[in-house]
Amino acid sequence: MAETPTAPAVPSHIPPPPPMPGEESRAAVAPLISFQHVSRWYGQIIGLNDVSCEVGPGLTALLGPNGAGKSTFIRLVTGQLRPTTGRALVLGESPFANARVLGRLGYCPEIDNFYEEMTGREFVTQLAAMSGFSGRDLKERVDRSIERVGMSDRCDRKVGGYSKGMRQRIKVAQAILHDPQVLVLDEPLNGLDPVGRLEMTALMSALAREGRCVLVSSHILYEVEQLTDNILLMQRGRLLARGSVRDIRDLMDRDTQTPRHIVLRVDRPRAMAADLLGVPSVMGVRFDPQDPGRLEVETRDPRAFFAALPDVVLAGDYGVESVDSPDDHLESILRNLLNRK
Amino acid sequence: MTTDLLLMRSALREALRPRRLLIAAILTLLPPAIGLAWRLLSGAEFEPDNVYDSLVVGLVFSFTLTILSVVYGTGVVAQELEQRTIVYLLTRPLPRWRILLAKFLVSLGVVAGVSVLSALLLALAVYGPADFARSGVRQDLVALLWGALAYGSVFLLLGAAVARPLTWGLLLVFGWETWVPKLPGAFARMSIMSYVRALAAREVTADPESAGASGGGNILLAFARPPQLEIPAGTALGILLGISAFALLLALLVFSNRQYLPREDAE
Repeated sequence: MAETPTAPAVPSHIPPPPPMPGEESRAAVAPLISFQHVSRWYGQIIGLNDVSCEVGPGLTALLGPNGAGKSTFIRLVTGQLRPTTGRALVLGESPFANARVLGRLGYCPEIDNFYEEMTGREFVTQLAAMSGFSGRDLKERVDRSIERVGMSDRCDRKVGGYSKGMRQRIKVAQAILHDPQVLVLDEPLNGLDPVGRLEMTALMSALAREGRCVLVSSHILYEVEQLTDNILLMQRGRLLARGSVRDIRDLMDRDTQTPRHIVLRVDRPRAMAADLLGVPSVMGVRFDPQDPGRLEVETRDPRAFFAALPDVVLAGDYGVESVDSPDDHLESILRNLLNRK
Repeated sequence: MTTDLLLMRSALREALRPRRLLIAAILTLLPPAIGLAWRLLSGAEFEPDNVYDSLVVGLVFSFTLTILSVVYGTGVVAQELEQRTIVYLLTRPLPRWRILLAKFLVSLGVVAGVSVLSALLLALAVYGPADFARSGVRQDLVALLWGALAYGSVFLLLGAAVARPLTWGLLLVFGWETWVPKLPGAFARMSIMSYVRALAAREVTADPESAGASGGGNILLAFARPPQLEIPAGTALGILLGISAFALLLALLVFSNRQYLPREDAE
């Protein structure tokens, strides 16, 4: 097993970027990835537009629709590109062609391209060689990383004959073979069956718990939501929001123009609906004809609503089976945020 | 096995993929096949010296060596971009120049090996085993090796520095390198092929009849016309070494500093 890596020192002359709205203050942890007013152009096209953020140890999800700038962000972190303006730092240094940084950074790209004539083991071995390993150390690392992704029994077949899930696992194997401190995974769950996804998410969580910075770009929102509470949300090259799902939700709550929906399951929905309409923060109430016990409340001020709800329940002696807020789900949050902009 | 040897082994595996192997096989066997056919068809009038000289310059130097150099030299970087595997090269802690150098040495070995083999087989086909020693193949082997290095370095630089390097490389080979040596005056000095041929310098007669050639042979001999300038072998070697060193160093520098995007992403 890899040793738990220590957090690197961040040069003191690098000022932290200003906090974005919605970001709760976190304990001061040296950021492993730091973007300071980073912009990147491709000719006339803006890939990233004045992005500032920090990513520390733990698992962070990078989210956004197609064309949001996620790929550009990842390429800047992994040292494939340099920013046009601003500074992109990983472990305190620019990662571009930087052996010191790249030796502590692992990258699993989204592309599904390989040296098809190689076996999985040969592929991982070659990349281990390009990481500077050789001899027995190389072999042990290759074996360990292949085993960790569950490919030990299939690694001696040619990559050209692999399923998508197997190819994905081999990609992750080459990303972790050198025990990187920063791990960037671009769509790591692509092509995996449900069991594979479970295994992969467990692996990502384990790596994050070891103190590494794990940055995951994914479209599979419900799994990201279960994986991490830290997200970076991008759209049109800009960082739209960052922080925990709760922080972002709170930010949206402060904007009283956006109604929230809260679903209650109660024993007497109609009676309770009449009582709730008397609560000032309640905009409206809806019943579900297919589900008699279900009551959907629309409110512009969820804090005030939840503060008033216990009094309503106690006064009417209602039996409340469950309270759920679908708008707290990540997909709903993203949809709202993206639609706003 | 050391890091560099592992790199070279996998580069060799890439270089010997079936499609490339087929191209290499054709380019290796074409000149000796033509030479053998020429010999069999010409009968008693066959002049092996003229035929060999024509074919080695017209096919091995001007075709096998140059085409392979373009394909393999530009392919060191271009193939990685095309198949989008360059991302794996660019995100490794090994210095980029070291990765590029290992792949280049393999491509150089393949090009030189195929060209040399083609020349040897040609000499065997034209002279036969008995008179093989009469052929100028020894001089040609030296010229081919230095030519492979010079061309390989230039096309490596092309592959590292420009988009669509194969197109530019073929233009360079079939345009510049083919016709500049034939221009009058000092223009020939601006062509790598002039210096390569200078290392294998000997008179090539352009007399189709004495070579037992037919109409097709006239065209071939046109390609084999000797350079207009007399370039001493020592000068030619120095120039080729200088070109190789400059192009190779520049290629390593460019690859170490350039930002690469796989073809689809770039468009």
